[in-house]
Amino acid sequence: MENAEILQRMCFVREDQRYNDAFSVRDILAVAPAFYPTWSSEVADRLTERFRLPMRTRSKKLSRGQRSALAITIALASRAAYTFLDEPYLGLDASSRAIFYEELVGEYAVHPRTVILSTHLIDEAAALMEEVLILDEGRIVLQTGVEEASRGSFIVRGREAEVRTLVADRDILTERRLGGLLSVTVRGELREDDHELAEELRLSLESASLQDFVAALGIHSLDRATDRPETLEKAS
Amino acid sequence: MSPAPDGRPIFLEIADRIADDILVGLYAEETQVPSTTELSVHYRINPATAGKALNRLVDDGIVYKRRGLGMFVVTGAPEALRARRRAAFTDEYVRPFLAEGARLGLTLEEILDLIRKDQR
Repeated sequence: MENAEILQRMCFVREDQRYNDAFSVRDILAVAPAFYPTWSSEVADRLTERFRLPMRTRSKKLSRGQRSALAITIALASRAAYTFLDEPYLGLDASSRAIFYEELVGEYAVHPRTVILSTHLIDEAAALMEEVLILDEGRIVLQTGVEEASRGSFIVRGREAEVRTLVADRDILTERRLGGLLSVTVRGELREDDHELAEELRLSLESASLQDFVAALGIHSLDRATDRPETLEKAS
Repeated sequence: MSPAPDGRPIFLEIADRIADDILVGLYAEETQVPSTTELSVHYRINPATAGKALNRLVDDGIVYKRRGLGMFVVTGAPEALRARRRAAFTDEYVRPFLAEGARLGLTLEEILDLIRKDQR
């Protein structure tokens, strides 16, 4: 059996977290404090009310969104020193996610602890974070502060020759065409003189959001995989 | 809240919003501005980011900390903000405005006419 003392300080919520099917929401919330010495019933009460969780409903009968809301309630009320949230919002609508974000940062501001959140809703969640870790097939491709990460790539758009002149030997993640124009996502930060050069070459320059960056990294690695059929053959 | 499309950090955006509110008198001199926690919950941002926004305003001499109470607007802050914004007005508004006018082939006289018409 695992170390019970350490387990008490950890709370793990995975995607589509399930609890005992026969238990009602009230039963589950009555049992949960036994696992977490730092449990806050005040937080649990506030969240069940904000999420409008049906207290008498058995967990088996809960909708996906309600199950997610219950798991989030337990995670935040646990006040565990290490809280892991793995895509915790399956089935949660936009307003419930907004409640989740508010409660998460509010709880964290008053009771600081380590929260590790994995998410595909990057633009929504980026501002909640301090640090970002981007994984590509299990390898860490970026680990940095969230603000530095947002400056991790930029987008150049214009006529192809001019785009290539500005990009020069920098690392291109994706290229897309629209009519005669080329739009490329470039890895790295903009340089001081890029704006002036862009003006001269009649290019548009914009910083990519963290979500743009992650999407570009993903497409880049997918394209690389299809460019090399021999590695695919070896794999199959 | 997500970063601005020009890649400007969120903490600067929030510091500017609070400064805007101080400039127009929504937060009067010597009254309290929102705390780190209030800002982070309201904008759904990390408390460290909210703290950076407030520290920025402290560094700029716009708000100050009263121990155990929170952040308050410095006396004279609206004047100071107005003076700073006026100094930046040429760079931030007039030059881009004239540059766009030039791209559209408008003469200075035509531009001034447009301004006068809009004023009426």
